[in-house]
Amino acid sequence: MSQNNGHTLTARGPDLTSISNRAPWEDARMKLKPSTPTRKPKPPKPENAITIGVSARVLFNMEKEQQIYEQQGLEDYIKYQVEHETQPFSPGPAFSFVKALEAVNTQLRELYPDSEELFDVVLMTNNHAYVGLRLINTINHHQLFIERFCMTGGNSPIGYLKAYHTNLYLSSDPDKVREALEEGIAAATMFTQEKITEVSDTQLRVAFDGDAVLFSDESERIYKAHGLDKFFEHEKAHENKPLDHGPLKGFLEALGKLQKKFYGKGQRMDCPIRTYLVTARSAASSGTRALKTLRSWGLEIDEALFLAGAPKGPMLEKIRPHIFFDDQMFHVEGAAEIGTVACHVPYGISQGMPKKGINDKETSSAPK
Amino acid sequence: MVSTIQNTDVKQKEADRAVVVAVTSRAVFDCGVDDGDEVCEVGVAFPLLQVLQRVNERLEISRFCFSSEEDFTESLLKNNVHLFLTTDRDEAAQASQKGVFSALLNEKVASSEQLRVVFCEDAVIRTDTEPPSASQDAAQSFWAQLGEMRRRFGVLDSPLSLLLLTSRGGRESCGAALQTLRSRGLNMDEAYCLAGAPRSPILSLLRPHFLLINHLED
Repeated sequence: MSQNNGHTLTARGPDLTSISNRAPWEDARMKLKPSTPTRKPKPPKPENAITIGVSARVLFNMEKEQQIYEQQGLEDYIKYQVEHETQPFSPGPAFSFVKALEAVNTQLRELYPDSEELFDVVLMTNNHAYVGLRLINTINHHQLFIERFCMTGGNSPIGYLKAYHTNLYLSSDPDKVREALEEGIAAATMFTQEKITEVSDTQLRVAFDGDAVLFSDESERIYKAHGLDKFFEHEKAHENKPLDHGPLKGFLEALGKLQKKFYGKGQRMDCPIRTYLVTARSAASSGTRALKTLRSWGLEIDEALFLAGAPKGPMLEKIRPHIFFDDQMFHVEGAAEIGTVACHVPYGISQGMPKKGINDKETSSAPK
Repeated sequence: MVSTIQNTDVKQKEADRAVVVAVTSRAVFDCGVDDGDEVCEVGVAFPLLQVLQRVNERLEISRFCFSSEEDFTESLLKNNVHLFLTTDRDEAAQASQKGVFSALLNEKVASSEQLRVVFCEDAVIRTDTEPPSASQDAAQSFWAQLGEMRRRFGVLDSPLSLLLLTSRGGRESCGAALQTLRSRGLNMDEAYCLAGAPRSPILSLLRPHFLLINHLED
C-alpha cells in the first residue's frame, strides 16, 4: 500500500526509534503496521449483523494514557498517543470476548458462506481522530477483524450506536452505558481486571444474571420491599405469568438466532455458542417462573444455574464464560475476583436511583 | 460585466491570506417570488454564514462581499475565491471545471456553533497517473489553508472541526486517509469508517456544513 502524492518522504520503513522523536505535525509518512495478509471478508450490512459496539478502553488497555489524560489534560494525552503511535496497546477486558466472536464468525462463514448473519464488532470511541492511527495499528497488530469505527472527538456515541443497529454496547463509561440503556440498547460497563482466567477458544460462552438483566426488575422490587419470603411466595403464585423483559433479552435472542444456524448444520451438542443463566433464584420456588418466562419468549438457555442465594463466584469459575452480565456490583466484583470478565448492567432498582417516578431511597443493594 | 457590492464597514486583516468563500445568493436567502420589496426568508446557507462569522470572530478578521453576475464563474475567479458553495450541482460542476474549488452545501439544518467540514475518502486519496487538474490544485490550496486555520485553535472548543468519512473502505483506507491528510498538514478531529454501511444515517448525525468530495455525483 503506497500513497505517493509527490511529497518527499523523510523516512522509510519502520524505524521506531526515530519515529518516537519526531514531532507530531512533521511532514512524514510512517508505515502502517501491516494487517492480516489473508483475504479479508466483507463486513456485513448493519441490519443483518449482530453489531457489538466496543469502546477503545474496554477493547484495549489504555490505563496509562487515561492517567495522562486525567492528570495532564487532553493536549498532553494526544501528544503522548501520537508519539507512541506505532506501539500497540495491550488487550483490555473485552478483548477475549471479541476474539471469541470472531472465532464464531469464522465457523459461520464456513457453514453459510453467503450469509450476513454474523457478529460485527464496531469500535465506538469518544477519542479524537488523532488517536486513530494508533488504534488502527493496534487492531492490525492483534489481527482483529474490526473494519468499522466512529471516533467522535468528544461527542456522544449514542446516535451512532443507533445508526449501526447496535445489539450490544460495551464501555468503561457508566454514563454512556446508562444513556444507551435509556435508548433501548443493551449495554454494560466493563472494568479493568487484575485477573482474567483462561477461557475456551472453541466455544463462546455468555452468562447472564436473571432479574434486571434478562428480566425486568419487577421481582427485585418485591424482594426489596417485602423481603425474601414474600419474594418466593410471589414468584410461586405468579409462576405462569411471564416476567417483563430486561435490557439484555434482545442480546440473548440474537445469540439464539445464531445458535439455531449451528443446530441446522447438526452442531447442537457441540455448538460454538453456549448461554448460561446464573441467578440467585432458587430452583425449588422462584426458578420456575424464570424458565417459563424464557419459554414464553421462545428463547432457550443452555444451562440455568439456580444458586438460591449462594455466591456466584464458584459457579462462574466452573463455567468460565467469556463474559458475564449482572446488575449488581457486588456480583460483578465477586466474579472479577475469581477472574471472570464481568460487566455491570446499571439498570433497575438495585442502582439506588429513582426509576421513572418511583421513589426508592435505598442506596445499597444486599445480596439476594 | 461584474458588479460587486462590498461591505466596507469591516476591515480586512490580511487580504492575501484570507480564505475567500463564495456562497450563491439563492442559498443564503430564500426569496420565493421576487417582488423586490419583501424581506426574504433565511436560506439553507444561513447557519453556515453564522458559523463562518463565529470562526472569523475567533480569528479576529471580518470581510464579506456580495457579488452578482450572470457569468458567475468570472466573478469567482476575479475575487480569487478559494471555495465556492452552492446547493446546485450544475453550478458546482461548472465552477469546478474553471478551476474553482467547489463543494455542495448541506441542505439539512447544520450547527451554527461549530463549522463542521467532512472530508470524504475518495477526495483524499487520488491516483497519481494523471497530472493534477485545475480543480485538484484548487482543492489542495483550499485544504492547506483550512489546515492552517484549524491549527490556530486548540483541540477543545474549536469553532472549526474537521471530520473524515470513509464510506467504502475499511480501516486500511481510513488509516491511509488519515496519514495522507496529516502529511498535508490536516489533522482530523473526528473519523468515521463505514466499510460499506449506509452513509445517510451517519451523515445526518455528523451535521456537516459541507462535504469535500472528488466526484460531485457522490
